[in-house]
Amino acid sequence: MLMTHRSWTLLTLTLLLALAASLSANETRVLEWIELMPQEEADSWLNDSANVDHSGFDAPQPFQSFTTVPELDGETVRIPGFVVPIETDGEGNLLEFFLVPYFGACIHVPPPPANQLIYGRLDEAIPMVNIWDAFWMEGQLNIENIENETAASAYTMDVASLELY
Amino acid sequence: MTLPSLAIRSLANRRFAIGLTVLTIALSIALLVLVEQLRSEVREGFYRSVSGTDLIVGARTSPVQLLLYSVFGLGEATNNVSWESYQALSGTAEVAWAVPISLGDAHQGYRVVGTEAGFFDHYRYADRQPLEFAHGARFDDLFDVVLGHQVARKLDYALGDEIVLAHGTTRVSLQQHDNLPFTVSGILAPTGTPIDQQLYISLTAHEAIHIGWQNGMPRPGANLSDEQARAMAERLTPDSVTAILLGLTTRAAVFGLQRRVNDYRQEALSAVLPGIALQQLWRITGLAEQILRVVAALVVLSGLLGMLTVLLTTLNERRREMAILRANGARPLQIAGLLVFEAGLLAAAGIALGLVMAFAVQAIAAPWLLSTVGVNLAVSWPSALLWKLLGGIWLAGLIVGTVPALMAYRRTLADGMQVRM
Repeated sequence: MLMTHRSWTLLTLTLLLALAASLSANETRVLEWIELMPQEEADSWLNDSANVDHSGFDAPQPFQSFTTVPELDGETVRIPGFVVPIETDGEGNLLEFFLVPYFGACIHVPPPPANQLIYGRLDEAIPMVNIWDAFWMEGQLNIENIENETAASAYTMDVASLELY
Repeated sequence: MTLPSLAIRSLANRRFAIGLTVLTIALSIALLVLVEQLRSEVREGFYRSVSGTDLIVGARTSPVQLLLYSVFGLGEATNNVSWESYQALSGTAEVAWAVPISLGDAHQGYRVVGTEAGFFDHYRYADRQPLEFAHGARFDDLFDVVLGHQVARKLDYALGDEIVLAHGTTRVSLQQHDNLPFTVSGILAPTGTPIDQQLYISLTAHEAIHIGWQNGMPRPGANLSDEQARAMAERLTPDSVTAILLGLTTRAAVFGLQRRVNDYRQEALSAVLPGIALQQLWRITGLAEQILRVVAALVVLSGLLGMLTVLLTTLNERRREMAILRANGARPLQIAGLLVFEAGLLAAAGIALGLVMAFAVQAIAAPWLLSTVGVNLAVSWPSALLWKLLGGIWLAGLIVGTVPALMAYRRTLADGMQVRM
């Protein structure tokens, strides 16, 4: 009898948790960086022995990818990353930046490919942030088509909020 | 008579000590405001100076140093970039435009930048503003020179004037390129950036004035005439440039290209993102800024303590004053209020005077900073943060005022009218 009582409690708790999870999922989707890479590309990349080759003198050509996941276009998402400032207003406030999955001080592996970057645009400039701090960026993710030979498309975001991780 | 006017008259009666107290507070406030304003203004000035450039490429060096010598004219380059690397880079698919710059010469202490006409098309400052000409146009002839706004103003040059460039970047130059004078073809509009402090000539001209300098000094008797230099310039290609400013077709390619430049096997190069290099610079200067801030805060604290000392020491001398006020019906609480009001008045006067002093120093130091560091210091309204800080200091002044107030409150209760002088 005691067992059943306990299992009931457990069940209720699980249900409550599931409910809470679904409620929070209704808010903003938290995006993982790997989700920005199209599935087939991620697959082929994984099969292709992902280790960085340090043996030769020739540097491996940095892995570049400008393909995007079309389903993500227009979605409002939340994603953590580091800020690389690109444009400021005339007074040193941050206007446009790249959000990147890790801070670029690591030089023994190539930089993240282009579809692992999001170009953030702020409507209103905010005071310059510290590039060594991680931030949660939230806003509408867009896919911008780029008409030139080096790239097809790239992620941009109209940034609604940028807060400390 | 109301309490405030009483307080003011009482203060006026002790004007020497009070004046010194206000001056102490004012000096401490001025220091605090200056530290804070200079810090934000210098940062703003640096951010203003580079915009729209995605990568800066130079010989292998630290990012901060590359940024400082290529854009801000501070410090010297350790090495140049070969012309072949420049051409390979400008032909890369991701590169929309590449502007080379060659440094090393000066005119009366102002740096001479050898570049291409594309510089005037692509360089941006502040909020992506392009360069504009106040007078004339970009260099067209081989020996044309374009002047930054400050250069023209300080040296009083006009279009058509002939000037002689000097070898090396010092203010006094012993080696002049005086065989080949330049003609002013254009003067840029003011930008409030290091652009105002520089002179621009074509890369070919930069090469031409160094014909015969291959051994590090002019070959005796090799002073070319204008015609000879022109004839040779036809066949002249530069060996190297000091730095290259790059704009990309796709910004998302910036990290990949940076990596490839840094890994370039033919030559040791560095590519930096200006935004990152600036932040690295702030990281270096940040410690000094923090120390200055702490010092300024301590000075403000000592200013307030100075005020407390003055208020406390005068409290004894003012027992009679307090007694008379009590005799005329002032309540102990009113006496206490009088003292707090006094402290608030002193702190406010100190803050106001301090602000005026800080602004005066800024206005005086601005031209000097512009010419030495190349940063334009606009005398700007203090930021919201600074106002809050000043408000906080004023409140601290009020709190300091409560100490003598409390003592006076107790005393007037205790000894009331029986003061023995």
